[in-house]
Amino acid sequence: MEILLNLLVSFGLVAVGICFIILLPTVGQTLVGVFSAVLGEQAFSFLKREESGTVVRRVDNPGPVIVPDVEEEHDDHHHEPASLETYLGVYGALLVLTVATVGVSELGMVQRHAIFWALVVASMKASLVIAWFMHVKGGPSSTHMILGTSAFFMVVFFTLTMADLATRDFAFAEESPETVVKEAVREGRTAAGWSDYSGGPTFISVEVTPATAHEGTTLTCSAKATDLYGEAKLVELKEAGEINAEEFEARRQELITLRWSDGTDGRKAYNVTRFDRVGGVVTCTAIALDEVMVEGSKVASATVVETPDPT
Amino acid sequence: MGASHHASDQPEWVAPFFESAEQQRSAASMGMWLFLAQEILFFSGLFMAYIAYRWLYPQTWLSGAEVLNKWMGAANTVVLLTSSLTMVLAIRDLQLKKTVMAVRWIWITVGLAGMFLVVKAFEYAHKFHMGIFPGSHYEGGAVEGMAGVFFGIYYTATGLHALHVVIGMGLLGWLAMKIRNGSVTAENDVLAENLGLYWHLVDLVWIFLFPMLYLVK
Repeated sequence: MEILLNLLVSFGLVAVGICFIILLPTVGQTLVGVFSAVLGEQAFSFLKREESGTVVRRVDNPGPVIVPDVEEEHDDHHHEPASLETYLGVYGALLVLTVATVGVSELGMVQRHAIFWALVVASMKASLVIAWFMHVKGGPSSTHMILGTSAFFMVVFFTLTMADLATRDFAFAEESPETVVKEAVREGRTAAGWSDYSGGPTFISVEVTPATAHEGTTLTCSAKATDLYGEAKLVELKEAGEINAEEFEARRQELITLRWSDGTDGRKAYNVTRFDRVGGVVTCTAIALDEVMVEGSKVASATVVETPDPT
Repeated sequence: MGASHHASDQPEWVAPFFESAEQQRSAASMGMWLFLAQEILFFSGLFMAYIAYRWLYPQTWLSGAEVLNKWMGAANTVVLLTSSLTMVLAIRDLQLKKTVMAVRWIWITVGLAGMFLVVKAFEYAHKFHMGIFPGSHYEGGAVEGMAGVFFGIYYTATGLHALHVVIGMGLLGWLAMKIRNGSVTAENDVLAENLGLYWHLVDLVWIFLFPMLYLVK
């Protein structure tokens, strides 16, 4: 059971490490992951009527002492094969967990939760296979040493690589997103798609209301942008004719916190609208960018023809 | 007490440079675990590539994963888990001296491995039909975004895994013959145990590949 606990901890660490660094979940989620692994171990021990390795005991009441069978080490005839019931029990647990992980994927969770639970279940399945089918539980200490070492270096490998990924500007992004947004707006630049080449945000409408206006009327520009998988986000910018830089900046800051609805969550959307006024025509331009975007985005526009004041 | 003194006491399948059968067994077992440790780190490179590219191309990942059929993946998971069970049953029967049953379980394991490859072949055929070929031959214009990145990882990971399955089938067939002609027995079963370990590793890799490729969209 001690071995199983170590396995659960090492695989739990991998799962928690991946979730914590790449997906930035709350601390609560990582705790849920660890506890669910421990609870799973205890439940299985209970079903198997074996001593659980994860039960916390008082020091003055250390529980049954397991004396290692020294004789067995030198016995040419190695230990008896595990019982049929053990193997069938492990197999049954693996099937139940497979059904569980497919079932969870049907729930339509947001992506980072789905990844988290998929990895927790996969780690539990892996622990079962390693402990019972590969006989690591009760196996020689050299096995634990080798497995532990490779697990350790796997964690080191993942952690360092992900730390590198998380802290660098992506090699192909020449400028920071904020700079890109500002420059794209200033230059009125149009550009093509998301930097991940998925086609980017799709503008379904840009609208200026009211359709006819005169001097002094407050015009409202609404832009609805959507990505491949999400519902539309509505962005509004009110403007009274001339471009108001202050309000524009405030609005931009607010919109930066928008997230796409596909649950990718780490990818911010930058939705910006602005007015251009040339003679009697007011043009509203909307730009959306993702975090790692190189060049601007799709641009749509609508025009309003000013009519003379009826009075 | 030199090795020569012991040599006559040992069964003929114990190499002369080992003190005892137990020492030979633990050396072979440890060697296999070192190989498995290498395999774990080898596959973790693929998993890291998956993580890094998913990070860089989140939306492409979603459109790519949409193409995969999760029920085929799930079916193959059950097939592979079952083959792991039949593998441990084969070794168990070998150790209980039920040689005929052991050989039978091994051939069932090989059959399940073949079934896994057949399902995999149907999946590949479906993708080829859509123009989703590996690497630079990619023509999957129907899939949104630059899904070639996703399928590059998909083909590399599942292809290397399938290669392990094919190699495993050959090794298990060889094991079945060695059991039948009596060179692997209940006493001298370390080859069976080591190939069992290899087969479970193939299962382990799939346990992680399945949710990462098919389920998480």
